[in-house]
Amino acid sequence: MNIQILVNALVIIVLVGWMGLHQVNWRPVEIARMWRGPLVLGVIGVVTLANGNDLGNLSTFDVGVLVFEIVVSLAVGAIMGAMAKFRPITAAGVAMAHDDSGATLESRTGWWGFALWVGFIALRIGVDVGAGAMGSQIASSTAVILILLAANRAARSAVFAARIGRLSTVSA
Amino acid sequence: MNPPLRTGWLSVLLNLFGVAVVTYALFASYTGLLGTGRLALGVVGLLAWVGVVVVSVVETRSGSAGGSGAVPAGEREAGAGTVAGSAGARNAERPVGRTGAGSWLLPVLCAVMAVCGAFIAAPTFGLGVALTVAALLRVIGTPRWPLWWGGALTLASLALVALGAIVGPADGDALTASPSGISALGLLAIEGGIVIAALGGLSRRQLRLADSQAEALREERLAAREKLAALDALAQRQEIAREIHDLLAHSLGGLVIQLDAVDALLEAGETAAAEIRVRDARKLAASGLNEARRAVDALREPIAAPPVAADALIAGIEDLVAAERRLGAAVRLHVGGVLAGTETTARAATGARVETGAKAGAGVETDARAATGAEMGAEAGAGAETGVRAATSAGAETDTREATGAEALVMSGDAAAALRRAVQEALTNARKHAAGAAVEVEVTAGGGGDGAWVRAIVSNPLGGPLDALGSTGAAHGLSGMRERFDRLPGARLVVGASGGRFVVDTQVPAHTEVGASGDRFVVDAQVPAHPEVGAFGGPFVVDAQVPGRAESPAADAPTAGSERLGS
Repeated sequence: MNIQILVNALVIIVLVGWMGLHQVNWRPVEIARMWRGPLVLGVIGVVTLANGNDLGNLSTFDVGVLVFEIVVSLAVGAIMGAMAKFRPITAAGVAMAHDDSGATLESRTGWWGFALWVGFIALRIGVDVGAGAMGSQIASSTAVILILLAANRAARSAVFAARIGRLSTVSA
Repeated sequence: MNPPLRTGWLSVLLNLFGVAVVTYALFASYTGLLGTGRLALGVVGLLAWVGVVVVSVVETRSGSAGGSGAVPAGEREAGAGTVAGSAGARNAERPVGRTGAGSWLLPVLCAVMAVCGAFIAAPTFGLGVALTVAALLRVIGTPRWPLWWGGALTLASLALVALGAIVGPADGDALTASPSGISALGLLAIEGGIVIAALGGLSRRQLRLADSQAEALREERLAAREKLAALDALAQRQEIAREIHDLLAHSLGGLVIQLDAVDALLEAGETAAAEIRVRDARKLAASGLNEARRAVDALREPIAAPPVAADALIAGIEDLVAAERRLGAAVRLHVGGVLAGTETTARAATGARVETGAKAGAGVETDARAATGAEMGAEAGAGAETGVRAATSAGAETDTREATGAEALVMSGDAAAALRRAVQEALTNARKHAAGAAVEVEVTAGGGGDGAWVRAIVSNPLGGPLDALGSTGAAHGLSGMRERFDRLPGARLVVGASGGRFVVDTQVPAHTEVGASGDRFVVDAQVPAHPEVGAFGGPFVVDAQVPGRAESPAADAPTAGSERLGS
């Protein structure tokens, strides 16, 4: 068991716990901030990936695994966004929201969303281990985890934005 | 909102060309590289592509049979035929009127196309992506299909291309290298192509949505314009109905009474009195005809009615009152407020008329009795009584004027016409529903500058059960009155019973012109030269100002001439 796997395991546990909290509890919907997280994570991930690996030597296998994982991550994020439920913001939501966010709704993905997240992590670990065994250089790197997380959040934000746009069109 | 799309022949040809090229390349170059399973997938994808073309054509045909007609070939333009002619042209597909039979079949075929193409894309060094691109353009670019179908298909295609690149052929090549033989860059290029195709589909979708929205907007605008035209026609019809009612109800109603009286007088052998009645009736008919002509002229060539001075309004109302008295009605006219300042003017202008009115009032006794008696029929005693009462009150009629300010009032032609028509209609109604009873007409004015107003109140005792004439009404007069006042800004109309009397209370806005009464006479004097100008209350005023005109009535206008003479 090398240090890389330990770090990965730690990151995964933290992420699972953090995401679980987010999925199950009602959280204020702050559209502007929704994009900030994925953007920061994505940039950090790509920079880390570029620094830690020689991109010119990436094999087709590496690229294939990366693309496949990103697509799955996007799909899971979109499904999460579609599963989420909205309700008008409550006092607790207002207290939780940032002052300048102007949030009027809060959302919760619920336990199914959490289950989906756990399933995605499991798939991710499976691919990680499998691809690592087949010689992938980057599949198990922390950078890829960050990129996948960014893709997941971005897809969820896109679906959220579309749904809230439709909501405001209907109510207008 | 988003009907199926019409598939043009150019689109069909481009698609079939794409199928042919991909089929040829697949079998000529890749049969050795691909395993049997992947080759089969490619064939399934190609068959699905052919299926999409066939279903599209069938849908278009059935849509055309449904009535929207074929689009001329010249209208169909080719867009860019994309990779291997996959896309067909954006403009080659046009909306048709109804949903085709293959509404569920097309998306399924497109999905099969995309999936099969994506899985063989990497091993065929990008050839298979032609199927995926064509399918994505179709699925995302069709507005009637949900966008998430396209999104899901795009993601699935991206994943399958990656999967196809890293999973080796069934013969068990080492997976660590690049079993499909494609480089990392090549794989990225294929994925990029799919993303671009999805964006292209999105752009095509937006264009079509914009098209259909513009079309809906056009239709809405057309419908609104038609509705507006219908409303306009309705308003015109209502205006004509109003004019006809006001003129005919007043003149013909008066004529009926006069002729009834003539009938009664002739039966009684009073031919001299009957002759006077007949002349009165003729005058009434001539006046009605004159007004009808003016109304027809005004309806033929609508022009804005010129402003009318208060004295002209008074003259018109005095004219109405005088005509009513000749019919045997007991009408008392009271002019008060600022309007009384125009007393001298009004009297000068209508001196002859006032005199006539007074004479008619004095001589009305027998006429009124005869008329009322004739109408009442069986109730001879009651008729006589009413006749006496009418005669007494009519005989006692004296018009009153309060002398106050000297400012002259001017109001818009429409306002004056509405006011005069309201008084006319109220008098007609009083004649119909409360025959012989005392009718009060009160014309007052107040305010100053642009806030001035002219008010006319006509009241009569509430009538009993409907008589023969009264039962002929259908309340057109009151509704016409309301319509006139509704169209006048700042005007007010209150109609209803109050204190045992039926009251028509009208008020229109006016403005004052200091010391301009002389000028207004000039306006009135123009009446005979411009008949349409004098649509309101003309003849009497003209007579007063231009008495000489009556001596030589125009040969072609005997009624007008005699009308002037008679006044």
